Amino acid sequence: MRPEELIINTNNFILAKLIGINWKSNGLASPFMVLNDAGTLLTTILTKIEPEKPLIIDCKHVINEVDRSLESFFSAIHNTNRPVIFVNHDGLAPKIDTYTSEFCNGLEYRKPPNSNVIIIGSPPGTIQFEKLESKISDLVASEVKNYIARSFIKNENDEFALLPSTPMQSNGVFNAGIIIANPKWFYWTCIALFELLVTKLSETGFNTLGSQKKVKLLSVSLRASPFASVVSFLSGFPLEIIDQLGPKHKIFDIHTLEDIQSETNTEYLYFGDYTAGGTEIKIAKTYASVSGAGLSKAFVLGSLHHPKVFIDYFDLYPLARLKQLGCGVEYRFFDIGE
Amino acid sequence: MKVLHITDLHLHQIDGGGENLRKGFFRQFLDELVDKIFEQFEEENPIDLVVATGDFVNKALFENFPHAKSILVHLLDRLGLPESSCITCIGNHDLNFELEKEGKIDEARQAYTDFAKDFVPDAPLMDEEFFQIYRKTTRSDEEVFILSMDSTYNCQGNNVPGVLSQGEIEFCANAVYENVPRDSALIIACHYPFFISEQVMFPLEEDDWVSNHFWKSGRDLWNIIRKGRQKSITISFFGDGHQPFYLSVDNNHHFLMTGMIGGNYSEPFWNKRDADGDVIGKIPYSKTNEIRVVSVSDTTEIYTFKFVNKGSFKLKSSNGVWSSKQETKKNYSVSNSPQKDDSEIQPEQVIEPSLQTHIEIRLIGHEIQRQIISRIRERKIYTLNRYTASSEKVSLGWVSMNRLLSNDKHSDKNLILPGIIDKSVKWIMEDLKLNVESIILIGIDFWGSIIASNIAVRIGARPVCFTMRKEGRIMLGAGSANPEFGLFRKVVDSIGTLTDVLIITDVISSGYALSNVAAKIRVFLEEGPSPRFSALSIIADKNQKREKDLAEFAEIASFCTDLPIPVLDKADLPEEDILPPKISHSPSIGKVMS
Repeated sequence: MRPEELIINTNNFILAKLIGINWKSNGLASPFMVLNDAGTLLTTILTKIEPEKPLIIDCKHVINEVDRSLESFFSAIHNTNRPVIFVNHDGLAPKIDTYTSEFCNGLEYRKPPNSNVIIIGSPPGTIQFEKLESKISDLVASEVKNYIARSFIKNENDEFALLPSTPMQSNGVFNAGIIIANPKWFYWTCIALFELLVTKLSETGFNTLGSQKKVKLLSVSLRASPFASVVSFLSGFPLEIIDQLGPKHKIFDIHTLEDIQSETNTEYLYFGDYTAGGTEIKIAKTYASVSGAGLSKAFVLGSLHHPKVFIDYFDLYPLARLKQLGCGVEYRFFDIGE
Repeated sequence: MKVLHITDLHLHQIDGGGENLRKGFFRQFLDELVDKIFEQFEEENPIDLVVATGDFVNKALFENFPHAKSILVHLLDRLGLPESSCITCIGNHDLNFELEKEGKIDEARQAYTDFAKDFVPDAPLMDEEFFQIYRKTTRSDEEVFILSMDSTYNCQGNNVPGVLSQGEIEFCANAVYENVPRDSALIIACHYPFFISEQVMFPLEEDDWVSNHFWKSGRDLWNIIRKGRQKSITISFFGDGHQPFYLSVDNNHHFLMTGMIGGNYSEPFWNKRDADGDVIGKIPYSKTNEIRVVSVSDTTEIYTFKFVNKGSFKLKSSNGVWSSKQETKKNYSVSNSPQKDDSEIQPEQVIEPSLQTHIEIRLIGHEIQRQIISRIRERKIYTLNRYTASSEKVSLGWVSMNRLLSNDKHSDKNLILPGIIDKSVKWIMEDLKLNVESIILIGIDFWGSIIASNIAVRIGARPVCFTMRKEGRIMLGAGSANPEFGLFRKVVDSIGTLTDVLIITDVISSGYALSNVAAKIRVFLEEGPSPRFSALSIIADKNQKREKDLAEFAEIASFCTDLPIPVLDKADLPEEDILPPKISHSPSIGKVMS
């Protein structure tokens, strides 16, 4: 991916996710640590991408930097005099302080109250630091919704066709393969899914520490699995993949049956691409129960219905509501006539 | 001297519909072909001879023979050739089987004979029931001899190649010896092939295609002819298979099957039938039409001209372009046994099992292999049983990729998958040295897609995910039948010049899936140069023989090559219903995880 694909560009600033920079540079073995290649990539972004705008770096989930990987970056901050804002910097705060004093003498350094922000340099006054964290979340969500909308392919002549897994017709299909085929889109969507997972688990008090329960991500569709794999590594939750569990194909492949283990202490978190009637999620829930596990939460790229429709079965968390995307998708019930 | 080979016009609905050779379109279709030929060779008169090897009409629709004649006449006219510069031979679709069954040999061929009589290059040197020998002097004053044969002769009304008696074979061979000087080039033209490349085994309509289409008598005849023409150029042209191949057994003896020039592109599926004739499935069919031009000389160059129908199968009119490509010669070893006389070639030596060759598979990283095998051993995730590898092959081993690559619990730091991704990135960038701007990663099924999408983020390449279902066959079709191919097309178009395709999968067992994907992509990418194919897998038994097609891959690499996963022919194993059921629920459920 090119450096400019690793940022979200707005009128007032550019945003980079440090956990994503780590992933792109050094893979998924240690996305929470800043290594040398990540420092180099950050420096490239600082010096070459939209240099006239402040650079906001969201450091959420990143816990440390090793081997002075950020040294060149801070040196470049000094040389370019470009304003840099660190958000959610808890894990890196000591290192940021140290490098700032070492390399950024003469540059303004401040921590606005009521915000989890460190500012180096003099950004314009248009950035509201108190709300920056939620602004960042909204920004990423909006960017990803744009990708999801563009993954919709209209049928020829706007014809309505039956959906594969539910008795409804639509004038097109959403294809997550389109997102996967574009590394930039895939990158940001994975990050958004991961943050959705973290946020919702936190909001709902889903506490795995000290609990006897294991948590596993569960993916049952080909196009959802790449997203699930990344979220698995970012979250640390193991991933289980069930081949061909979708309603269109045979429910259980023989190898799946042979491979079922007892999971009585496991809570599955379902990861999927798009859902309309929730059929695939319900089948996944059935699979979970066969092995004694639970499945109470489902994370998807897009949902046709409001999550409250499924409240009796599971908690549904979509990145986007499909009918609100403005991509021209329409649905209607399948009418078999008289 | 250059020879143009066309075959299998299969004229059916010539007044409309989806055939490029229909009345309303064939002139434009052929004119564009001829323009392409002139463009390729940049000569005033590039073609000296046209050879047309049968199936002019489809399914005995003899009323279409006049139109077949119009087609050949127009082609010859555009090429500046007289009708006597065209050689034809009969195909099985040109034959009246009912009359043949009644023993009315001549009547059964009357429609064809009436059509073909205008295309006789002067008086034949020999004119027998099942063969003719001609001498032709081209406008470039080169002399060539042609043996045109009726490979349906003595089929006894069955839709299979005919059978010649030993006497008939020797008679024909002697006729060749007496009439064709040894230092002259000889062209052999017949419809049914007597030489087949096993790598194009025509897995289309019939399970036992070879038995119904391989002309053994022709082969026996050729064996004898070759003895007297060891150092003379002999080129054999076939039709029937609708798939191209080109083989040479040495510098002088060449065999070409050319794909069909006709056919209905708007119905791109063949009905696969069982022994009772019931349709049991639909097989995707190539949308290409093609012809070949062969230079009959010491270098024997082959050029293929393909027309790819671009429209969807719903369109009534075609929309495509002709492209040309020079073929690479493939040498074929004639004898497997050093004790046997090289000139004695038995058909059995040619039709070999498809798993016949060792493909070199490169190991990427010994440490990851060690981790993989160690984890397989610890987790006991190698199962020995019977697993479908393709329609004809069975794998005896299966590894749970899920349990190999996933963590069992939060604290389990299984770094095999991140390691695979990291090493793959390094292999692509430093060993293969691919230009990421011009490659596509194809992720096969779940784990191939996971690895491909993660590699793509690291290097900026474009990945497309394919699912391989139904015994290794990708669903290939327009529109919703396989949305991934539509997406693949969009990605190709966005890249511009596609130089490399890297196919990523979890296990390479028989190699059928890999070779099938590559073949489908090559057909799909008919225009422009073919990209280079490479493959990457998590596991691939280095000692397992595989599909010969894989030898065309530039590189095949794997992270674990020392794990034996035997693959056998289904035919070598007992029927599935002899074995006890595989599902035994109770031992699995309730098993405590380690």
